[in-house]
Parts: sequence; structure tokens; C-alpha cells
Amino acid sequence: MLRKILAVDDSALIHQMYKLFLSRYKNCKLISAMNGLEALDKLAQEEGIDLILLDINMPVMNGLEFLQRLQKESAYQAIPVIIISTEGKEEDTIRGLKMGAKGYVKKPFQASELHGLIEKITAAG
Amino acid sequence: MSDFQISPELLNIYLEEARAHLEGLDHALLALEREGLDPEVVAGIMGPLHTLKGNSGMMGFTGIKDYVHRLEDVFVRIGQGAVTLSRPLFDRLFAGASALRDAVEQACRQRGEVRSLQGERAVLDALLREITQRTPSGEGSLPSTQSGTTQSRQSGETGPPSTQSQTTVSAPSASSSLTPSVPSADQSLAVSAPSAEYISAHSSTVRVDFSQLDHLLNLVGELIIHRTKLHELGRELAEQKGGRETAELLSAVQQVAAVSTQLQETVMDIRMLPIRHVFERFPRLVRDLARQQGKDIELILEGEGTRIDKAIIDEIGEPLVHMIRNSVDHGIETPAMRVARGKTPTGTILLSAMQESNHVLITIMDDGSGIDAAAVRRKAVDRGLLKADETLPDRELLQLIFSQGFSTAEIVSDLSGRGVGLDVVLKSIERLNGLVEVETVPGVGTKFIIQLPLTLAIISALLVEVSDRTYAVPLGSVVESLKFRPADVHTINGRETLRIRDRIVPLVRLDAFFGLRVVTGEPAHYAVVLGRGDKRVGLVVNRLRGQQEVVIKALDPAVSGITLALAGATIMGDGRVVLILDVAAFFEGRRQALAHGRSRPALAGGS
Repeated sequence: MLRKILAVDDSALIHQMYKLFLSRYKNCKLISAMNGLEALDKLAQEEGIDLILLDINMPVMNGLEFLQRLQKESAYQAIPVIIISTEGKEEDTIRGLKMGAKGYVKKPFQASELHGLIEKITAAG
Repeated sequence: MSDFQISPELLNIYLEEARAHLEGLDHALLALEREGLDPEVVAGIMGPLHTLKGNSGMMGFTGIKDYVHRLEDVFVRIGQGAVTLSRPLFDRLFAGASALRDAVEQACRQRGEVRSLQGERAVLDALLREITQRTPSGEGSLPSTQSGTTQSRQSGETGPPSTQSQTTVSAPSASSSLTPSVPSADQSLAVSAPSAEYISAHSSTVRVDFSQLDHLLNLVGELIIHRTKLHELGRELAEQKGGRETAELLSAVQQVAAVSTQLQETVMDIRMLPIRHVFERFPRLVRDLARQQGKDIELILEGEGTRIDKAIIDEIGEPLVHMIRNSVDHGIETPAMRVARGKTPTGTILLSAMQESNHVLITIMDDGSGIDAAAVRRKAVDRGLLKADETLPDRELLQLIFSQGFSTAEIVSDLSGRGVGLDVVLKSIERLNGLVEVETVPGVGTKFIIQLPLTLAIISALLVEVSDRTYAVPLGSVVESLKFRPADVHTINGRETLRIRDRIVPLVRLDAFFGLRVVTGEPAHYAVVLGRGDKRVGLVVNRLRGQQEVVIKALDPAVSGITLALAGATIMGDGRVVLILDVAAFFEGRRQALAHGRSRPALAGGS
């Protein structure tokens, strides 16, 4: 049962896209963070986050650093992470997957792709 | 981009972010050109470029995305020290950055890509080939430059593209892959961590359309109008009948007044933006202009954090571009001439902003050739702005360079270049209720000081009455107001004047100025003295009605502006519309009257 999705990206445009893509998706609540550090704050504030959409390239704390921190917290380890990657940084995506991310979508992506992957990953969980 | 619409809202967000990223690109290039290779600068621009690439892809702007991708590759190579940082290289990169900016702006205006950037991409491709040839050590394998080859797939095949295929992770059961080997810290930290400043503007903010803030301010304006009315009624009531209820009413009104003042201040504060938004374009501008003219110029920015109403931010850019251009074109000399004059070959332009009570002062100072007052004088006499035998203090004389048709090229010692009409600058600044003054020392430099209000929306005004009509005079321009006797008025050179202490102040009869019926039996014997720099003009009115905060409502340009001496209108507590005077018009009128010896200032028309 998907209730809360935490979207982590430094671009307001991408957050707006998530809003478009996910607002009416299974009535889930969308929580936004502009970087890894903010995402950790949001995890501490909001209970019951079921999925994290994670950009890698972010200032302050990037996606890989965030993943590393996430894996150290037993409370968060089980939350599935989807990496949202951008062309040209494939090695980072691979590293993220090695660090426990469950899958990835590459920008530019469409709503259907995102929905499909979310379905698959949450069903598996 | 098939399953969602590119809405104006998305375009706006994209454009705003892209502009910030492109600004960052300009700054990185400028820093690298000036300071040489700095890994931090290179690392700092990688993040914004990567985001710009991703965002452009999301919007379906493939040409832009591909170009930025190449640009990333170039910066990777620059960061590796594989590229010689030469002038031709920067010229190519700056040209590319400009083309990219144009492409982004156009794509947003047209809601789709217009410019392919193919030619620009070829330039970068050639550049990358050159680099690879020069460093054949196998490091030529740049990050995949072919774009579009790895479109994302449906979730079923979420394996990473090509390389290292053994690490395919295809959304497996959760339990099995929970604890993969965590890479060592240095490995994951290798990803660039740009400066915190780049993002600080974003965190915990809410996006609001500016028109909503305008609306909010308008509502606050209405509230203040009614508050004033309420206040007046309360006072009248208290005079007629006292009692506990009246006292309570008055106290409640006072509380409403206090809260609404706070509300107004808060809303104004929300509308304020750092002037950095205007200043940030200038380093690039100065660099390009200096390069074109073979000059060496350092631009120093100060007080970029100074905040001012967004409406002013939007308007002040153009006049400032004009003035900075002016400093580069006519102020700063060529290195050879500077050396001959015993100056450093590099010229300096200082652009600074600071807040001073209710105003923001913007200073543009250069250490160039300065303005020759004698030349200004000759020119002013030539153009009929000044009589040959008329003396004016230097300060007022210099102010004439803001008159129409006054080409600065002819008055600076350095005669090169074309003249830029400072009259246009003056008009723009006055439209913002601002002032501009100039100080200069020939051979040493010139300083322009622009004074702007913090906001355009609400001003303190003095309400005056003439021929049964009420006008609002912006209080910032009022030096004093006084009562006079008809006998105090002297006609000099066919013009009515009033001696105030040791000063002769020309008068403007507001009823005649606006062509109003002159009410007989009620002598107009109040003078509202307006000041602008050293100049004074007295407006003759029938009555003074006191001060009040007024909310400026814009008038149709056809019926406002300097030609008609109206800056806008405001609505009073009783619903009456009152016109706000455009103070600048009266000084414009005076200047013309001085030049042409008119007995009465015309409406400054045709200026």
C-alpha cells in the first residue's frame, strides 16, 4: 500500500513534474526535498514514507551520500529507492544500485515509465 | 513527452531555473578566464549544467540538452587540465553560452525548440576532438556523447546501460539486495558537491506567481484606504459623543491600524528581491564590451544583497545596462591612453547598491576620463538649453547631460564611440520615482548616483486642493510647503517667482497648468516647494489637505507619464479617485522654460 513518496531533487521543475505525474496516482502524498540533507530531515519528520525517488546530482548532499546515510539507519533501510538519473552519469547510477537502490529511471522519463517502475518495485516489496 | 502537456507553468519554472544555471555558466567562464584553472569553479558548474541538461530533456528540448551534454564534456576535460585555457577557447565558449541562452529563451517563448544549436554543437565537437588528439593516452573515452541512444525503458529492463553489465538490478525481491557492499566514502564523495549558495534560494520556499503578490498588495492597499476612512469616522464620532463604546471603538480601530501596517510591511517584504538579479548580468556585459573595444576593465560589484521591490528590479536593468555601457564606451580609456595619463592600464568600474532609509542608492563609478563641464556648457548653448550668458553651478550644468539629444560622446574627453542618450535613462528612472545625479572630475572619473524608492506600490503623499480638485504630491519630493501673500510674488524674465529665504523659486500655478477653471474669490496662496537635486519649483495651490499613505494605481500610459505630469491615481477612503502628480514633469518644464524664456512652463510636451 503506497501512501507517501519522498521526492528528492534540486530542481523545482522536476518537483513540478512529479506533482503532475503522481498527484492523482493512488492518492499518495508527495513530499519534496531539494537535497539529501533535506531528505534526511523529511524522513525524520514524516512517518511512514514508503518510497524514495532520488536524484544523484544535488548540491549540499548528493544522492549517493544520501544513500550511504540511509543504509546506516535501520529504520530507513527497508524503504525502496528509485534513482532518477540523467544521461552521462551512468557510473553513478550503477554505484547507487550497488548501494541498495531498487531500480532507476532516466531523464527524460514519462509518467507511464515512472508508474510502471513504482508498481513493480512496491509489488516486490 | 507524450503523456503530459508542457504548460506555461512548467515553462516558467524551467526558464527561471535555466536562467540561473546559465548565469552560473557565465560566471564560471568569467572566473576561469580571469583566474585560470580552478577545480572548484569547474566542479561548481558541473551540477548546474547537469540539472540543466536533465530539465531540458524533460521539456523535450533535445537540441539544448545535447548541447549542454557536450558542454559538460568540455568542462570535464577542462577540469582534468587537458585543455589550454586560451582567449580563442573562451571566445568560443562565451559565444556558445550566448547561443544557448538564446535557444532557451526562444524555446520558452515559442513553447518548443526553434534553434537547433547544431552549428554550436559542431564547434564543441571539434574542440573535443582537438583535445582528444592532443591527449592520446586512452583517456579519450569521454562520457557517452551520443545522446538519445539510451532512452529509458519500462521497468522490466532497468539494467544500467551498456558498461558493467554484471550489476544488473531489475527490481528484485526486496530482501535479497538490502545490504550490498557500501562503497568507501571517497568513492561516493567523488561526485561534485557545488557550493551551498547555489541551492540556498530553493530550500523550504514556496513558489507563488508574482501577479498574486500584486493582487495581495492591491488588497492591502484597499485595506489601508478603508482603515484611513475608519480612523477619520472614529475621530469624528469621538468629537461628537464620548463614552465607553466610542473609546473602545477607537482602540479597536487603532489595533486594526497597527496590524494592517504590519501586514503591509510583510507583503512589501515578500516582494523584495536582492539586486543581484540585476547585477549578475554585468560581468559578462563588461567583459564582452571591453574585449570589443580593446580595453581592459575590472568590474567590481558591491551590495548585491541589497533588496528592492521586484517591480523595480524588472525595470531598472535596462537603464543600468545603458549606464554601464556608457562607462565602458566613453568613460574608461584604452590601456595606452591610460598609461599615457599615468593611470593603471586596467580601468575599474564600481557598481554598488546600498539601502538608505526608504531608498536604495545605486552607484556607478568609473576611473575613466570624466566629463568636461566646459564642453557640456558649449553643447547646451548650442542646443538652446542654456543662454550664452547664463551661469549655472557645475552640478546643475552636468545635469544637462540627461537632456534629450545630448550625446555624451561629444562631451567626454575621449571622443571615440557613439553617444548614448542619457535622456532615456533619466526617463526610465523617473518613471520609477527615482533620481539620478552625476559627479565628475575630468581625467579622474565619473560617478552616477541613482536613488530609487524601495517600492512603487505605496507612497506617502501630500494632498493638495486646487480649483475644487484634489491631487496627491509624492512626499519624497516635497521640500516644504508654505503660505504666501500675492505681494510676495515677483515676475522675473516673464516668470512668476517667490523669494523663499535667500532663494528665488519659480512658481507653477497648478490650475493654469492643468487648464482648470480658476476659482475666483479663493486666492491660491499656498506653495508646495518641490526639490530635485539643487533645483526648486513651487506649485501654487488653494489648500493643503494633509499627508496620507496612498496606494498607486497605474494609469493607462496614454493618460499618464511625464508629458501629462501624472504618475498614477489613487482611491480615497470615500471612493474618490485622486490623481498623483509626476513631479519630474515640473522640472522638465522649468528647464525648457529656462532655455526658451517662456513665461510659463508648457506641459513639457514633445521632450
